[in-house]
Amino acid sequence: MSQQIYNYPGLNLGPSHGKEDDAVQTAMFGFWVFMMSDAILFGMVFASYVTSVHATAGGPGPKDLYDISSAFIETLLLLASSFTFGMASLALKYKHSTPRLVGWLVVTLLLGAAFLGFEVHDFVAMASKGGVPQRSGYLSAFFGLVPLHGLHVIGACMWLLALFGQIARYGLDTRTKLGIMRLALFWHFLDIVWVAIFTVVYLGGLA
Amino acid sequence: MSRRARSHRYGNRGDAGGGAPHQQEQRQQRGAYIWEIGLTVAVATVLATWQRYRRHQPRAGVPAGADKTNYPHSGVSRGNPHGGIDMHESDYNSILPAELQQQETHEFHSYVWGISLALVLTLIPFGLVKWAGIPRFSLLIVIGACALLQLVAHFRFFLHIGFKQKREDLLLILFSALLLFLMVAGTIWIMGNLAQRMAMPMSMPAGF
Repeated sequence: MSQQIYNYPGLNLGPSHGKEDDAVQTAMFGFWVFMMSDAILFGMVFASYVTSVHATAGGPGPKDLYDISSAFIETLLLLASSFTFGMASLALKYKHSTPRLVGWLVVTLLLGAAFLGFEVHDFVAMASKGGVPQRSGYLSAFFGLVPLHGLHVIGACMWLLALFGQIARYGLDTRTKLGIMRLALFWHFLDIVWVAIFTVVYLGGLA
Repeated sequence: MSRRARSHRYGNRGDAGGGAPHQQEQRQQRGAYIWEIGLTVAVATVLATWQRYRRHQPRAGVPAGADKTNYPHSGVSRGNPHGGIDMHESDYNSILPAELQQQETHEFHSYVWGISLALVLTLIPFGLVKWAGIPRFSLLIVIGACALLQLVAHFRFFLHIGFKQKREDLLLILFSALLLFLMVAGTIWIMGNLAQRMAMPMSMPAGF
């Protein structure tokens, strides 16, 4: 059984979920198409950041503005949230109790919110050192890239809140399960984008 | 290598130091404090994960799935908008609970592997940038390699992408990766080359 072939990318619900497993298949593939186009968007914003990272126009540069400790904590928070969402996926797949599933999702949401808090704190600290988007091409590119990821995380958190509403209203029916499965993909995807951000932006800038 | 020495060695981009000495000292103290918290969180995560991992080892004599409560779901919900093959639930209930339990343990281990690898591959580059004084170019190579490995780990262990995929899924991902590589690498190459020829302040060969 562990040598199963995946019917769609991501964690498969498996045959024990009956026809819901079939219903998920199309939706998950469609969601992957969306995520890959989102990845292209991120890639282009990355490219514009990399090409303008030295265009500081006499303003503050990466070494003046970035805080490696903060970036490290944000990384840990997002990684932990990815793991807790994985636990939620397992709770869904193996039909553990609904409170357990919701518990993991709440932990995920809190970690995501903490991540956003640290990120906002970072931006405020940067602004206080003169790092505002209109200062230079480099800063425009930075604020085009990192907050774009932050917006995605905000969107994912709101989606999670909506899912709580769905669970409360409808229970774990097909659509709710589908939403959780897709949000799981999205959450892991955002963590992957963050790996690229902390590598290229923060570590690349501070190295 | 100190920041001063490094900035002396790598170009004259102006002084990168931040503010008065006492301010810097204060910031350094705060930095050390935050690092302690970060490392504590990391270690705690690994320990907690290990605890769960050990609890998940299948024990002999305990009936599989004994501690689980199945939530009731009638199987009928708000319709099935995506079609799908019409089969009865009973057709799917032929899977043995023990098999399911084994599969769950297997997939749980996948997530544990994922977070462990990701933690290690995060700690290495952050630690190197923070403490090690290796030359910038080698540092960038190590950071980049760690990031690539971490991407693979995330795809493999969190998103469950492998070679046992249905073919078009893997092709979608690989083709997107190819497009991404062409566009990003092409942009950086062309714009970097342009900057060099126009003598713009972008004194890097490529990347970062």
